[in-house]
Amino acid sequence: MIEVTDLTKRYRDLVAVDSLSFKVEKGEIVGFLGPNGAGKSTTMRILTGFMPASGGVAKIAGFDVFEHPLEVKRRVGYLPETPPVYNEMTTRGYLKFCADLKGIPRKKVKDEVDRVAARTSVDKVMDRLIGNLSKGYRQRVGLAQALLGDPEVLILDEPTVGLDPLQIREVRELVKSLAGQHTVILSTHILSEVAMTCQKVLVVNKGRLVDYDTLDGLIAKHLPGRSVTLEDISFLEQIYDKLVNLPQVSPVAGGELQAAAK
Amino acid sequence: MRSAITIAKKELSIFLTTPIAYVFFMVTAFFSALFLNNLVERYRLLTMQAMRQNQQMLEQLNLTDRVVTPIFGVMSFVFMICIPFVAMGLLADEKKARTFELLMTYPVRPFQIVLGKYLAGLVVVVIGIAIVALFPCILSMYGENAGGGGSALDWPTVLNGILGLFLFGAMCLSVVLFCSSVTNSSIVAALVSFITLFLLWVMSFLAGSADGPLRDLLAAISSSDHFVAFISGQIALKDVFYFVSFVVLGLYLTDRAIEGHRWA
Repeated sequence: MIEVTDLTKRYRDLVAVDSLSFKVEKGEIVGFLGPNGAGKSTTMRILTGFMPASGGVAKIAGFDVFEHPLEVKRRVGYLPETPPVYNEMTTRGYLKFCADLKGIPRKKVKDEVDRVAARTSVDKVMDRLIGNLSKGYRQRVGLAQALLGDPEVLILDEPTVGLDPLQIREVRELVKSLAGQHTVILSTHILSEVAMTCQKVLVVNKGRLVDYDTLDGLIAKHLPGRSVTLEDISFLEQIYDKLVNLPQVSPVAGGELQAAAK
Repeated sequence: MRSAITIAKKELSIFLTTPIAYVFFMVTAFFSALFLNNLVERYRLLTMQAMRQNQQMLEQLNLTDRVVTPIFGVMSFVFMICIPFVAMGLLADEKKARTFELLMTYPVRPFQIVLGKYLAGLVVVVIGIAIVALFPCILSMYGENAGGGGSALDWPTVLNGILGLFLFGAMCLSVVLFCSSVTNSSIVAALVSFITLFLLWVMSFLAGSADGPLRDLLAAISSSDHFVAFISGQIALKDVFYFVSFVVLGLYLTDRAIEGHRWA
């Protein structure tokens, strides 16, 4: 579905992406890992046709991103690093604008907007100005925009930044549910996130591919003989979930909890 | 075309939720009203003077030449100052807010973006012109023809002036849109486009101090010379062509500038 060959991006005296090659099959969720400045965002921007590569080829669904930009853009939903939202518009107005611009048939626009709003839980803030929303909501409005029109390929640049732990889990569930039908590339700094949502991990450093394998493959390769369980990461979340979702926690109940903890 | 209209609608909704367009409308109404008052008063004094001294001059005095034409002249200057500020953010703000990345990664051609933005700006300009056009209408309601009977205004000349104002506004807008496409600071876009428009405006003054072919050239690229042809009712094809070619050139360059983003 996504085919990248010898992709290179040079700025004046900086090589942001250095002959990167990888392939993503249809239906896979790939985590894009790497330190700051590793070239993750640059690669994603090239894949979405926002900027050209200095060398190499990137193909999505068989179309070269530079030669056939419109064909590629029709098939890709993209959430950039900064959510591309207009502060002066309401959430509904914004999503409707995006749906129209993506060429979704007029009759289906309303249903499609409602669908993605429900999936990203922004349906409660539909009539508020985006400029007045919290960062987490803005991020989710940006994600809703990427999901409009149910694109085959989703490219998500740090989709969980700015969200609270419960929202992070919701977004992870959302991304997981996309597997099979959609091809997803998501970048992140959070290792546990990759462990929980992605089937494959692509590690880059200084623009070069360091490793690209399934999670099990990576563990077998780099930590032979060690058993890793996901539970030790997710128990924190469960506790937090219980605390936050208690119906109207009274101070007394809070005190009891503390006492119980002691 | 649907994409262009979608973008135009979005821009308009932003124009109407932020104060900038309203400030433009208010400035337009204020200066039109100010000059209408002033010019009507001056016209009254002039007719009184003419009645006492010079009957022949009285026959040549009319509201169109003495009131409406000067208002259009002043308003073109007001437009030249205001339109850069109205339209400065059309593309520059998108780049600053990183929403440009959205437009560039959607299945939209650069020209659809340019056209959408331009149409939205044009709607605001047209509303501004409608406000200006209100004042000749008021004048024709209360004014009287010197000979008695008939309209107080020479409507063909007035309509020519309105057409001129529209073409002039359209030209200003295309210059601003282009400036907005090559920077991500809206203030820079406004200043550079204002300086460009002002230079074009004063070319006719510069032409006055030049000779020979240079003089003709300067006069030909001066926007004020072409505009004056409209408000004085002497419209010629070359004047229409001047403004239309500016619009086409501005839109083309903006389209290239946006396409250029895909290459660098």
